[in-house]
Amino acid sequence: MNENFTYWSDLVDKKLQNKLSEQDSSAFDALITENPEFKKFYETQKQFAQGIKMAERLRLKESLKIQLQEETESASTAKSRFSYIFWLSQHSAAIWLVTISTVIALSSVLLYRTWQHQQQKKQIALQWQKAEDLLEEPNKKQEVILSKPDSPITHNASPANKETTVNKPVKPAPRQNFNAYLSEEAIIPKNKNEDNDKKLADDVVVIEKKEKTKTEDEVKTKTNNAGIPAQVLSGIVEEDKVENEKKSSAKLKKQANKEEIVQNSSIKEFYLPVYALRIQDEVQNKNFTATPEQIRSGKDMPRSTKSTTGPKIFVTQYTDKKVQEDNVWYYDFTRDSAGEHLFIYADFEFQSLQLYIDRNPSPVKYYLKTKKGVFALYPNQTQKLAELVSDKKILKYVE
Amino acid sequence: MIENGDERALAYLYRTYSKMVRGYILKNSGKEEDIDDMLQDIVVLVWEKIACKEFVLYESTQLSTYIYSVMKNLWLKRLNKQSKFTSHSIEEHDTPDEDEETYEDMQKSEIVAQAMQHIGSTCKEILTYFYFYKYSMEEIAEKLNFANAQTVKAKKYQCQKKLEEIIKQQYNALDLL
Repeated sequence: MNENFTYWSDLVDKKLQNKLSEQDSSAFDALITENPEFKKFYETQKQFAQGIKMAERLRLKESLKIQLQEETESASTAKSRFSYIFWLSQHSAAIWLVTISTVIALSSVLLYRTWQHQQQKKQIALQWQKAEDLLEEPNKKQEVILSKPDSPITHNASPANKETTVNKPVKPAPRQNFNAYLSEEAIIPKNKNEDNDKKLADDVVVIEKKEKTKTEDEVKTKTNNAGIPAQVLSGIVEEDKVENEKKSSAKLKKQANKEEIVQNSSIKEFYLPVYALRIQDEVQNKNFTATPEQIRSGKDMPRSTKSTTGPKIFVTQYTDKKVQEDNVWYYDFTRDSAGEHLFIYADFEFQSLQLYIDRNPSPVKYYLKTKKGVFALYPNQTQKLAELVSDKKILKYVE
Repeated sequence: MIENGDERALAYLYRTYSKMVRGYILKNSGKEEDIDDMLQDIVVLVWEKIACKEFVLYESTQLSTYIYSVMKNLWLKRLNKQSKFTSHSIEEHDTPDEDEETYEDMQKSEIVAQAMQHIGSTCKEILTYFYFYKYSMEEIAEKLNFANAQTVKAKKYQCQKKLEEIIKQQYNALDLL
């Protein structure tokens, strides 16, 4: 049996491996036909062989599937990596874009702020410079300017008016009034103008002292040289003296009142000093700067030498109790030839005043040009204007 | 690669000839789901044939030509099986071809294949080399470092007995053998 089994086994193995020779094959076929036991053995071995082949085929297929799956996974991994890298590149580009934009925006804001700061510094520096200029040249900034119109001035005042003027003495402003004004400087808060104000006040006092030493003859000579009738001028001087004497006794009292007014006043800018009045000199065709003393006294004021009837403009300080109480100062412009009194108010809010004289229409029109506009002034309306100013009403603009 | 047992050749063959197989099957009454099965069968069969020491590819014959012929035969067999299975339901007494495995044989082969998973690796290698790759005893002895062919032959006998026992443990011996 063992021999048979070994034989059969070898024979079946050869058959299954197709290694049977022609002779063995015939023997194999005879054995199957004749021996049913061998046939069963062969069938069993054949089933084993088929099963083993199937197992190996299944293993190979499984190996193939695993390889394909790995390749797919690696491909998808590579794809995902590529996608991630692509996404990252895009994202990094976006990050860069946002970062650069932010930096640019912040830089712009910073530059703008720096520029703004520099501009502010410049403006402050300019303002300081202006303020220093103002402090250095207070007279220039605060002077009152009077100028004539471009057209040549032709005096056409009527003789009647002349007579009126001659007969009517000018009301000179008391000197103590200006001194009182100067004394008010001490009440005003101290600033850099204070020294200039004091200096000016000293100058005025010196001028006043000089004038006191002057004789009446000197005054007459001067005014005569200027073309003013001697009677008028002497009358003014006489009147000035009388008024000074009359009011010298009330000087202290008025000063006290003035201080009280100033303290109670809510509009302190009214006390800004007018140091000088610039008047167009018709004779020399140049501006003349009048000192406060000249304005007040009317002496050494410019006038016309071409004609005796030419205009002479001088300024006196009009003093009135009511006006003083309202803290409004008036300047009395008097034309000696016409004898007319023109009250020019000096609202100290106006830092410059220009007087335009138009002699073509009759009566003569005076225009006061201020920073607030041009106002027509009529000799017979001066009192009304003064009232308007004293009531602190704004005058209407007149073309 | 195949002769050296490098199984990466399987994937190479699959990728290389998938387009050809796909076109052929779709042109010859095949469906999309048949392609993968066919490709696997073709690749494994080609692997099996080439791995055998007796496989010789003539110089004038290209591998693609050989694979094409394998594919054609396999596909025709499958078509025949499908047609026979269809006609079998009609003609119940139709006798199967001798070369063709019957459904019963297929079941028995599957039982053996499953049992192969439970025997040792040496037994698996000896049986596979012998029945699948058709190595001689001498070749197996050399490959697996056995002393000689007789030792392999004795070992093979033991492995067959072991496989038979595994099958008998799981299935009724009368049913199978």
